Amino acid sequence: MNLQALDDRALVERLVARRDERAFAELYRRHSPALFATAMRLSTNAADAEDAVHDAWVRAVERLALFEWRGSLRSWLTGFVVNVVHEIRRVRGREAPGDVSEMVGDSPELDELLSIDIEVAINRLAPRYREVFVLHDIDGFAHHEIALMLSIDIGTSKSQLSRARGHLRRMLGQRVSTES
Amino acid sequence: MKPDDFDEQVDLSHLRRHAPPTELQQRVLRTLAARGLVRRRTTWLKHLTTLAAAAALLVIGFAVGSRRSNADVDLDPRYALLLYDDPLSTTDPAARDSIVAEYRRWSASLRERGQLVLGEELGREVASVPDFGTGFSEERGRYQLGGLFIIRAATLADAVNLARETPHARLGGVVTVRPITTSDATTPTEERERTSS
Repeated sequence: MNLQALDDRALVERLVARRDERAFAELYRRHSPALFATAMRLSTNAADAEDAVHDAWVRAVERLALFEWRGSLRSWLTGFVVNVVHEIRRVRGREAPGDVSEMVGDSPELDELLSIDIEVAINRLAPRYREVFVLHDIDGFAHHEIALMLSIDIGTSKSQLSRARGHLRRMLGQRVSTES
Repeated sequence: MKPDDFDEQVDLSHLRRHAPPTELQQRVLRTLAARGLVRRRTTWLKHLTTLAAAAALLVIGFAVGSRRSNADVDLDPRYALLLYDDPLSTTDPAARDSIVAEYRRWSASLRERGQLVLGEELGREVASVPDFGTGFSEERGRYQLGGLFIIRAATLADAVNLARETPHARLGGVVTVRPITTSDATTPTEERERTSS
C-alpha cells in the first residue's frame, strides 16, 4: 500500500484507528519540513525549534481524534508549533529581539554598520510582527487561519503584517542604501 | 524601493531552507510509542508468521491466496471481486493455459503487496437455497459467477482500480466489486486463528 497516495484525512484515520506507524511517518514526512522551518523562524535557536516540533507532534497526535477538519491539517499542526514556541520562550526566558522600529532610525551610525540579510531582518522583528509575517508571507496561511492560531483579530493580523513588511523594507532598504 | 509601500511584499528569494534533523523523527516516534499513540512495526512482526508464497495452492488453474503475511500486511478494508463470465464461451486449451498464467502473475503481484486474501475459481455446477434450478439469472440472463477474489484496498476506488487490472476484465469479462462489511478489526494473530479454525 502506497501511503503517499492517501490524503491527510485518510492517513489520520489510519493513525487514530490503528496507531499505524507508517501513517504517522507519511504525515511527518509531509508536514515536518514546513513545521520545522516555521519553528526555526519563530524561535531563537535550532534546539528550541526541534523541541517545538517534537512537542507539537505529540500534542497533535494526542488530539487527532478530536480534529474536526474545519481547516487544513497543516494549519492545525502549525498552531501547535506556535503555541509551543510561546511556551518555550516563556519558560526558558528566551529574549526576543527588540522592536525593530526602535532600532531603525534611532542611530544613523548603527544603521550604517548593520549588515542585514532577509533572515536576520526577520529575526529582528518583534515577536508579534515576526509571527504574522512568517505565517502569512512565508508559510502562506490566510489571515483567518493566523487569527485562530494567534488568538487575534483578522484586522490585527492584517495590520501587524503591514507593519512587519514596512519594518523589513526599511531594514533591507537601509542595507541597500549603505552598499550603493 | 519606496519605504511607504507597506502593501508590497518583501523579496523572499534569499530565504534559507530549514530542514528538520533526521533524528527528530525517531525522537518523536519514541515519545508517541511510549505513550501508546503509535504501534511500532517491530511489535507487529512478533505476531506474524511468514508463509511460503512459492507453495501457493492452485485451484483449477488460478493462483490462490495461500495468504502470505509480511511485515507490511495492512488491515485495509476487504472487497470481493466477483468475476462473471459467459459459461457458453469456449476457450481452446492453449489459450486457456495462457490465461491461467496471466492470472497467476496478477495474483502473485497482489500477494507480494499483501493485498490478496484469497482467489478461487468456481465450478459451473450450481445449487441454491431455495432451489432456483440453475441459479439466479444475472445480467442478460447469461452470465454466471465464475470466480471471486477477496482483496484488500484502502478505498472502493482503489478496489475498482484493482478490478480493472484483473485478466478477467482485460479479456472482456464482468467484475463486480463489493465491500465486505463484516468487522475486520482484528490483529493479524486473531485473523490467522480465525481463518485456520
